[in-house]
Amino acid sequence: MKRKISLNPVTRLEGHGKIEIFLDQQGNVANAYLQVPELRGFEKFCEGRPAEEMARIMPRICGVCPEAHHLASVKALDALWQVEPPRPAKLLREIMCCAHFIHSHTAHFYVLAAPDFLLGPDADPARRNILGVVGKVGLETGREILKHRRYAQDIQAIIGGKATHPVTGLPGGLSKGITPGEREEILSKGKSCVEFARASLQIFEDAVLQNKRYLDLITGDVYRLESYSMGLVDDSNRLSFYDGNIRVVDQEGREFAKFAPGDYLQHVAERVEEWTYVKFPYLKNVGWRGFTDGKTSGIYRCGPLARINVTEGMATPAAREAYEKMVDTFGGKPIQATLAYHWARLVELLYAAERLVELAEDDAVLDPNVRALPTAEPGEGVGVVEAPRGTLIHHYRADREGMITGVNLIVGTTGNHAAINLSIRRAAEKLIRNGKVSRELLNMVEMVFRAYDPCLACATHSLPGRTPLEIKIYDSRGNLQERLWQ
Amino acid sequence: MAVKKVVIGLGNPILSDDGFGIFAAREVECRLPAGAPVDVVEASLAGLKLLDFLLGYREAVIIDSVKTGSGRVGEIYCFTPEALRETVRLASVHDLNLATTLELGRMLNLPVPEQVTIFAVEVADNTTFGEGCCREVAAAIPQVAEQVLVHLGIESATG
Repeated sequence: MKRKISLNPVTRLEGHGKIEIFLDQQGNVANAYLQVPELRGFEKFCEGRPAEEMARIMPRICGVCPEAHHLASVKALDALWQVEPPRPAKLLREIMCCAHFIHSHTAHFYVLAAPDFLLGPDADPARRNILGVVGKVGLETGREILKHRRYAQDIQAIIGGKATHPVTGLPGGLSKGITPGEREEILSKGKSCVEFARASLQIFEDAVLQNKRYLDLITGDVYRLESYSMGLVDDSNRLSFYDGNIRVVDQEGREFAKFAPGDYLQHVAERVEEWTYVKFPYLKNVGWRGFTDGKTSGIYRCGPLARINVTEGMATPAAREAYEKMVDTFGGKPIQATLAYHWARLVELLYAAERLVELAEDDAVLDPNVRALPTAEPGEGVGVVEAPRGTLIHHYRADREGMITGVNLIVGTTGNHAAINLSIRRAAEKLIRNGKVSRELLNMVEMVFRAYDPCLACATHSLPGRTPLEIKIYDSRGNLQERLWQ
Repeated sequence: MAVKKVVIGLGNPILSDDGFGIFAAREVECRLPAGAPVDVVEASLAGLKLLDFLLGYREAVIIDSVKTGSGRVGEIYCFTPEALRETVRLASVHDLNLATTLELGRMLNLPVPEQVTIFAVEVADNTTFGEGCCREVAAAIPQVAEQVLVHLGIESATG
C-alpha cells in the first residue's frame, strides 16, 4: 500500500508551498513533489497594455523581489526598442541591483537560514526563528542586521524613486540621476554594508564551519545533486549580476554553453508536468530525462551556488578571498552540495557590497545624462539579470504601436524548480526509511528546500487561516489514513 | 500635538481580491478629515519590510485579506497580532509574520507601536491577475474603512 505524506505549508518560506511525499509498500520514498499555487492570467493581464508600462507592472508580481523584476523589465524594453542606455544609467541600475542583493541575502541568511545553523535543525521550533538567532548573536548584531537591511533599502529607494516598487527605469535609461548628496549617502551606507558582510561571513565561519556537525551537513552527500549550473558572467567570466552572457557549466565544471540573453530560447526549454501548472525549465541541448541528475539530464540550477560554479572568479578583492576559501574547502568546483547555497549567498553579499561601492566611486554616476530616447520601432526584447534567487529572464513582444502581444518570464525559483523537486526527493529518500517519519526528518527535508530560497510569494501574501504545518498520510486509494499537525 | 497613528493597507492591487487592503486604505484616506493625525500607507510586502512602516507610530491599523476557507466571502475579521500568532506559529508566508516582527522590534528596543490591530476580510480569489475585487469583497471596502475610523476614534469626513 502506498502512503502519501503532505507537509503543508513548508515553514519559513516566502509564499505558500506544499510538499507531498509518496511512500512505497515498504514505507520508503517512491516520489516527492513540491506543489506551488498557480498564478493565473499574468500574460493575459499584460497583453494589450503599452510596453513601457511593463517596468512598473512586473515589480507587482510580488513584494519580495520587485527591484529584480524592474531591472530585467527595463533591460527587455531597451532591447525591444533597440536602445542602448548611457553609461551613467547602467552604473546606477547596477548599483540598485547590488543593493537589492544586499537586502535580499541579508534577510534570507538571518531570518530564514540562520535558525537552522545557529540554533540547530532539531532545536525547538518555538525558538528556531529570528528571535532565537538574535538571542544567540546578541542584540547589537541584531540591530546591525536590521540597520544594513534598511541601508540597502534606502539605496534602492534613492535610485528607484521609492522604497519597494521602483519606478525610474525607462527604455533607454532612467528618468532621473542622483545628486552629489545622494551619492555620498550611497557610498557611506555601501561601505558600512561591506563591513557588515565581512562580519556575517565571520559569524558563518564561527558558528557553522567550526562546527563539525554542520560542516559535514553542508559538505556531505545528503544534499548533493549533480546538476548543470547557470548564471550571468562578464567578458572575463567573472560574476556579474546586472549584465553579461549566460554561462552554463557541466558536472565537471567545464563550460557547456555561453550565450547572449536574447538567444535563450535556443538553449532553454520548458517542460510541462500534469501535476503542476509551474513549468520546469531545462537545457534543451541536453534534453529532459525526468527528475534525475547527471550529465544526460538537462536539469540545471541557478542562484548563488550556481553562480559560484559558473564564474571563474570574483571581481572584487574581499569577495575573491571569500570565494577562494569556499572553493578550497570543497576541493574545487563545481560545488554540488545544496546547503552550500547558504555559504555562496554570503560570499555574494560581500561581492554585492564591494561592487556597489566600486560603482558609486565612479564619478560618472553624477552625470545627468541618464537617458537615450528610443527612436526605433518596437518589436521584441529579452532582458536578463541575476536576481538573488537565480537567472531572471523577461521576454516581451510588442506590435508596431508598442502594445504588448506576448510575455514570457522565467524567474529564478522556476529555473530551480526541477532541481528543488529532485533535492527534496533525494533528502527524503535518505532521511525517511521504512515508514519512519519524525519531525526532525521532515525538517531536514525542509532545510534543503530553504537552501534554494524559493520565492513563492508571487502567489499571494494573504494570511493563512489554518495551522501551517500539516502532515497527511493517504493509502494507495487516496483515502486519508492519518493526519498530523503541530 | 496629537500622537501620529498609521493605517497600512496590504495587498497586491493587480491580483484580484488580494488588493482589498490597498483599496480599503485608499477609502480610509478619502474619509479622513483634514488634519487628522493619521498617515495612510499602501504596501505590497510583509515581514521586515513592514517593520519599516510601523516604526515611530504609537498605534497602527493593518488592513489585509485572509483566506480561512471556512468563512463567508466578504466577512470582516478584527484581531490582534497575538491572536494571529496562535494560528501561524512562527512561520510565515513571507520572511516573518507580524507577531514575530513586532517582537523582534521590541527586543531590539525599536519604537514599535504599542497597539496594532488587524482588519481583514475573507477573500475568494487571490491568485488571478486582474484589477478589482469580487462583489462581496468590494462591498466590504466602505464597511472596513468606516470601522477603522471608528476604531481610531475619528469621525468620517464624508459621514
